[in-house]
Amino acid sequence: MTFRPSRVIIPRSFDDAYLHLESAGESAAIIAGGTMLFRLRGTGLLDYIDTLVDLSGLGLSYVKDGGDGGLHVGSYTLLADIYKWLSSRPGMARAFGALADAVTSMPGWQIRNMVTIGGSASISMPQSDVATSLLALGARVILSGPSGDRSMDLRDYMAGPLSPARKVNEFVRELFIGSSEGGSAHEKFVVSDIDHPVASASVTLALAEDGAIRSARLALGGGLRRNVVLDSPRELVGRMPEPGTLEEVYSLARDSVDPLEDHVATAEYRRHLAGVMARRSVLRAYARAGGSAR
Amino acid sequence: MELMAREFSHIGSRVPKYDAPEKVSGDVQYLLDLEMPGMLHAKVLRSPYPHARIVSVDVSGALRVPGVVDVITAKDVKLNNLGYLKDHPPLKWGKVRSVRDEVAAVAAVDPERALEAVQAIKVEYEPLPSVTDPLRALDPGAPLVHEEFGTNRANLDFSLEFGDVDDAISRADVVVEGTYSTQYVAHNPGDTMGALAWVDAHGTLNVIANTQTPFLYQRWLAESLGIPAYSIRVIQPYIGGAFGRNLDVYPHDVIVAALAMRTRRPVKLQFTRSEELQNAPTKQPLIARVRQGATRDGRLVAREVDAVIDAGAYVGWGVFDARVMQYTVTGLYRVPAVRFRTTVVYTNNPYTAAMRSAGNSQITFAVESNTEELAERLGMDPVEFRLLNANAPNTVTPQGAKITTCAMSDAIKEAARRIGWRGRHSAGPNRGIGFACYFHVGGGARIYRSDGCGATLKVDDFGGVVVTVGGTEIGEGLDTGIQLITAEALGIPRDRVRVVINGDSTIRLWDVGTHASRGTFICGNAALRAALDAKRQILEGAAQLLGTKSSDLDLRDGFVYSRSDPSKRMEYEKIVRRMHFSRGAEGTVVVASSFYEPPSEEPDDRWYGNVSATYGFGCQAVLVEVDRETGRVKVLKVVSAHDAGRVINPNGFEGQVQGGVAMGIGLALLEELVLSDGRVVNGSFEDYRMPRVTDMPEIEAVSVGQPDPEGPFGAKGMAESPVIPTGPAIANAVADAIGVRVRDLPITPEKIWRNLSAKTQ
Amino acid sequence: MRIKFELNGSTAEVEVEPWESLFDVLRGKFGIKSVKTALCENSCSACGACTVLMDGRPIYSVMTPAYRANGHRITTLEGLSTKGHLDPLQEAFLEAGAVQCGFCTSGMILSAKAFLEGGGSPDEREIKEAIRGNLCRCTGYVKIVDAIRMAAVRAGKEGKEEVEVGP
Repeated sequence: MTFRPSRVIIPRSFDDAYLHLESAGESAAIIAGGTMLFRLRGTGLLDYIDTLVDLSGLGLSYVKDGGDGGLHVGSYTLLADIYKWLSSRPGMARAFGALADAVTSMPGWQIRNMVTIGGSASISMPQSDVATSLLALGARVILSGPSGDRSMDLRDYMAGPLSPARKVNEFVRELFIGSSEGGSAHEKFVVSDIDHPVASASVTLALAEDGAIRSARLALGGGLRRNVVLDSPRELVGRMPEPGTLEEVYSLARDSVDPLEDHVATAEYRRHLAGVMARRSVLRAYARAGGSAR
Repeated sequence: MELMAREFSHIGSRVPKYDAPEKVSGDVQYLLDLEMPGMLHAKVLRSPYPHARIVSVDVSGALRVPGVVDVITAKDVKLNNLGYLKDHPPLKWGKVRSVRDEVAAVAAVDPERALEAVQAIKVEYEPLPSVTDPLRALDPGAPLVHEEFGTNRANLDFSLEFGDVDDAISRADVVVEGTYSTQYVAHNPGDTMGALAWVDAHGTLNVIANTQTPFLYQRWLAESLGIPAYSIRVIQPYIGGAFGRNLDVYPHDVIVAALAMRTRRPVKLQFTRSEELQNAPTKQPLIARVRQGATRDGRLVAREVDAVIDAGAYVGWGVFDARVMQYTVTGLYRVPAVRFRTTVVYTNNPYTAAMRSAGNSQITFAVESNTEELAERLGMDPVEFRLLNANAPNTVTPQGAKITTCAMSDAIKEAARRIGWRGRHSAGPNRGIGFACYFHVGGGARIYRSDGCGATLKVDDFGGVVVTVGGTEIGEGLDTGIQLITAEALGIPRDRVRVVINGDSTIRLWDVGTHASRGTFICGNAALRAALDAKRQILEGAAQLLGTKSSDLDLRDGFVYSRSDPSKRMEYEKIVRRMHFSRGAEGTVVVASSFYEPPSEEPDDRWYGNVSATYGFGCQAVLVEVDRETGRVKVLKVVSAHDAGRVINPNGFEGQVQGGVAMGIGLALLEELVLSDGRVVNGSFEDYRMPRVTDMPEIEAVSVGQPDPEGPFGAKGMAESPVIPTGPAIANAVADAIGVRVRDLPITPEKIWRNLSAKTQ
Repeated sequence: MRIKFELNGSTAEVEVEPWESLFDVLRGKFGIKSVKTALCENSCSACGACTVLMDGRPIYSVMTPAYRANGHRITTLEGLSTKGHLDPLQEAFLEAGAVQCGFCTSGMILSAKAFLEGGGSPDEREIKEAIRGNLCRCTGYVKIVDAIRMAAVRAGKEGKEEVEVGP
């Protein structure tokens, strides 16, 4: 085991945090739930870490209804706590259903009690159901640094596997999900509960008065090289979820992804599943949004 | 047959598992938890190549790592080859034949230092062309795994023929042929492989090992080390599952012992999960071409199976799965003409071990899939077909298996009734029902010259009974069965009986090992006979003390009482005390022993023989639902009906059925060790799928049949059986649901999707 | 760094390293052997053998930094029985035949304990969800679910109204 950080810093203030992150520089790692770090500690990948910076003392564990229809979630909030908060608020539960689905798709309470929303976003990989659902929800990452806060689309934050786009002296303070209109859903395909998703799809829909889809955001994830996010694709906007529409959604998703090919599944099968998951998530999100599919 | 037998005090009652208290309290310790002062940790350097010459080995780097106490290669220690064919050197020299081959080993003060030392050993390899396709292993020019044999054909042949198959096939009205295959699977119990060894002040080599066969382990370890077997003491800890993986002595066992002997310190090796997935012997894969012929009205007339057995680099116990396969080929259903041809080949793939049912789950997948295809071709209902051909009591199979009790027909009828069978394609949209039966040993399998078990029993002055058996407890519940049998046979309260199982094998009588579902039957019979002998001694002692005839006395609920005047009674412990203390020079203590050798035989040179004292039969019916879009199969319900004679321990029976069905679902749908050029690709626990609670269907465990005349209180073995028919039952259910038949396990969603897509084109 | 926490009802204080997991410390420094491990290095299959409760919530101790226990309440299987009296859950596992090899038992009981303490009902789906993060190779889970249901019924739990995120 070559993972040997010499210290853990638990800053008591934001300024403290910036200072320590700055001074430790590239040899620091922010530790959220700790699951990723502790899972990889024998691989050699983490040998560079000398300082663990633990921000759990900064009050970053909260879920707040922004009053503006948006949801503010502190980066250190455990997935289990987000789920509990949502499941007691039916309206929110529908709008942010994709996030709730992503959490309940994880095998068991132990994982939900250990993984934070900030950690999920920062892993920056399409295997994360939570990240895929947040992409569909149009989440924004609020980064906090010495020169103030800045807000970034989650898409841009998730720059590459295990290397999110944050500066050395910054940390994720909060995730903000703007709208609580309509409905969202997350679908994933696995053979067994503990699998990484072979393919997954999350979609957020807002409906017009007549039940047609007014706006949509579709995020595809799972065994892909990178997440794909499609804003208001013409295959969905202005449409109802009839067979013709759903067929086009299937093709859209299938043709948009760049899937992995490995012993778990071929690329061709993953493409097909991306299409099926996209279709299913649209149907469920539509129902949550209050529409009735004909 | 009811699970609760009212005429017994203990047999058939629901009791906690004998060792459950320490398991629910947290006191239980497995090999994982055991430590000794001064203990060293061992790690093995293994070949990264499937086939290569070892050009040079330089261990100097390892010796320089602080905390390293010993480093060994084949040059440093003379170790004799392991295995039935003695083809398996514990430490390799000259060449390596598979990716896991052991080249060197280190003993150091902690696992990290041991790993560092292993990584510092420099081995120069010259890679050789490898052969990993068993169907290509006998091609001219194929790389030879063991050059000294001159061929990749292993010197083992399980081929047989009884009756005239060619004639029967030519006269059959319908013949169906198909090729079926099963995959590499990891046993993967919670407890990984390993051993802890030390030499004590007497010079005895003590080994704590997760073995299922302590007495064979002792023998084979001694042979490999070249030391007398009586100088080895094998100790079995609590074992966290094994499923057949621990029937043998493996290179790492010998390596740990050798390091302990050289360093004179305790040495422990335990596989991590990845090491387990990548280096433990696997379940035996099978490629089988099956051909069956039947008359127009559905009677089977012939069965022919050609099997390719990939032994991997060394012949392990898994190859002997073919011996078990024989009995299903020749005995499942009544088939007058049978032929089995086996080709056992060496390749550079992993070597194999037996896994729960030791070949029967693989062969039954092949045969019962083919049987279903035959029934389909005939247009016959699968239940009717099976009933027509079902095995019957008091018959002898073409291979000489003497069937005594047999309730296969009842098992089939119960399975059909409880699953709600209404004929083909009637389960509902995208749903299907499939059946499969099995024929398995129920009274040992005589895989060794002796299939016996010894038990000793003493009754102390306080009425405490201690029964020791040579058998092994690996979680299956043999301990509880022994307690129930002993208490019932003696006629005393159950809590007076202490069972000694596992632990120090030198104080227990010989047993060939826990496998082949033989524990309750054979060790149970040994305990039963010892208990009956002890009871006889107590009654004779009581007769003498009370001045009556022992034939007038009985022992029940802890009291010795007179049959003719039941008010005359005395606690048995009082009798025992008086036998000991009140007879001066004639004092005795109550002690009994029994070695039960079942009335079975080794097969002759034609492979003909009755290898088991009795046989088990059963039928599973499975209801599945298929998601046509994704190909995913959901198992909704399994009815598992078993003729296992009288059920001694209902919790145990149901637990084995439920756990066996879970494992069967794993084999059918989820599990696969993926190999690429002999290397395990999905060698981490995350990548290897195992059944989880969300995969579990509703399960009905059903007991049918009559008490068996030879079994203890009429019991037959059944612990492996529930895993046997699940694969083919699921394959048959999928075919019933969507008309797709998958002939190679596991039945993955992608395979189904591809099959369905091909159909629509 | 020095940490202080409650371990099975008693105060515990210990020096831990930043890289040590809670599992390392519970086993290595407190000799708590009931917490098992499937020895998965560099991966985690959610087998649950290493489950402990932190403030009554189940977590995997192998993947939790030891120092995080500071100021919290940690419960292992030893913490369930008091002076030889078994917790009703432990009794139920005995009675229902839910134990075979026993390797998963510690984790299963703790996950079940958290479930019941959190108001868990005898509903089969909920019980399965409660042990979804625990793997068993022996039992097929059936009698484990039976045991938890038995304990829930005995504790007087009934099905409760919960808002489901659905459909």
